[in-house]
Amino acid sequence: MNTKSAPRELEDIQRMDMAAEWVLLLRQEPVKDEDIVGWLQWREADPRNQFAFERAQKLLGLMHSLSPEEILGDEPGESPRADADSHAPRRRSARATEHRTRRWRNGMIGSAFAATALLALAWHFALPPRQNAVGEQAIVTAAQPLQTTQLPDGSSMELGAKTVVAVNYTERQRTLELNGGEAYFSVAPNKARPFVVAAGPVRVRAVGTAFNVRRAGDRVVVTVTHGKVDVYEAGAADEHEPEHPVRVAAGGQIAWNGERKKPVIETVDPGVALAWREGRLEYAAEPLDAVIADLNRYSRISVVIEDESVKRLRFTGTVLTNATEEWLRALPGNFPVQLREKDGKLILAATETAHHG
Amino acid sequence: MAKQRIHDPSAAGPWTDGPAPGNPHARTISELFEAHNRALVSFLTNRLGNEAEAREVAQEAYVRLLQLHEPGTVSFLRAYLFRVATNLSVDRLRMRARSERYDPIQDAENLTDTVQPEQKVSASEALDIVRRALNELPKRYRQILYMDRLGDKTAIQIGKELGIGERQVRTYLRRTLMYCQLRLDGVAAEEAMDRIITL
Repeated sequence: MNTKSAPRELEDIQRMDMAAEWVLLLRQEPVKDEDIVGWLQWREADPRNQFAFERAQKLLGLMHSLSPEEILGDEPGESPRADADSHAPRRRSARATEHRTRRWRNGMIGSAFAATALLALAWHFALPPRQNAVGEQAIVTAAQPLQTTQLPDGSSMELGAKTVVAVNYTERQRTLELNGGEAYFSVAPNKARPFVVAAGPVRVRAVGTAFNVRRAGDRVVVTVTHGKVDVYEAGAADEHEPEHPVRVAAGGQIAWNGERKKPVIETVDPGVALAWREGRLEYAAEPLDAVIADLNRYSRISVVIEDESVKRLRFTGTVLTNATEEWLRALPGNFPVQLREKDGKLILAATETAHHG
Repeated sequence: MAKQRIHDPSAAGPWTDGPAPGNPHARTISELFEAHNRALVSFLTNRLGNEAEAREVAQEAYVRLLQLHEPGTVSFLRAYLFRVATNLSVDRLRMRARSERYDPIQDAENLTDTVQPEQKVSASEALDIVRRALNELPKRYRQILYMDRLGDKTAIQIGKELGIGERQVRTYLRRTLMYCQLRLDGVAAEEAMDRIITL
């Protein structure tokens, strides 16, 4: 008899029962604040409570994943009627929550914007003209994001943190070189004088449009908010007439990863790519090394990723540009990474278990 | 003013120069987060049925908390953290395609991970035991589990359809959970049934 492992004790049975009750209560919509507080107290009262809760929750997950036949057994005609009629109330409550969340979020955007705008600063350096250059040349850099720079042709650009753009305007072409970081360009139309952003291995050519370019090493992400752009690889025989440009329209995003593969255009919410102008960096399944490269432009301490496996982790969510260090500090709790300090830098490494897995 | 600075020896390292300029409460919030992150992830896993996703939502909830300008007391913050996390999980559930959810073997593996070594059964054994245990229960129990399964009905709605109260619906579900756990732990069918009906 395996009486040893069977929970015959009343205490165990009661714990199991409470765990089941909490699992069910906390899944309710809406969940009550007092239930959350009650559960936290119960959970902290005894480590076995936490274990019991997790077990009950996993068991319920397992039961839910069974097929209708497995749950109901083979009694034909007994299955409860289809649930079409009861969708409506649930949907209403989900929408109400969404509305609440959005309203709150909008309020935050306004204040984050004001805080960063106050700090905005930029320097302009005039460079000695290059050979046969007609027009203007300058290097523009922003110490803090959100600096809008008016360009001589009526176009404008906003630069992210630690972003340097070299402006080189000739009669034939408007060329802007993004040496790293992020910038949002609003382009004044002029078909005779193409507007080209050079970002490492990638060229983005626009005709009367607005788009965002983010560059971290060889990873370049282009997001179009208005009009159309042509994106192509650098190094063509004739840089002005590329052979195979990829045309990206408003709402489209294209990402280069320093690979030879032809990149795919994705449809995105351009507001997400432009959130940096309001102090937020938003990502959907972004490689962690690209997130860290962005973060390093805003953080006072540089962060280095030690393990390849960590670089490839995907991050979905938000980083606030004025709280990068707090975000980093929370990361080890939620991803298989550890954070340590070395020579004044922060090192992100894989946790022991991640090495095994 | 200088007196307000509290010496904190644990604060050595890159964080010594205090919270980010944008949020003077960032440290309070990150302490709160450290104290409650496990509970938060557990809470979210229960709602989302997926731990990886729960961790993403937890991280996101933390970011939202950092966006507060006047966060108030710690007890307010804790409630707020769970409230924000709840709202985010509602959004996630709405976006998620239902088809992703059904992976009984993975669920059974997750379940058997939590069992102590001497009780350990394999994932497929656990799945068999649960299947059998459900069939040992009266029809009403299974019917309510079935209605709860898609997560789109509250206990109140299920109760209305069956003409019983919300509490009763939860009692059926709780007993179903208890019964399957007892059977997984090796308790005989008859004894397990006795146990649950006295609850």
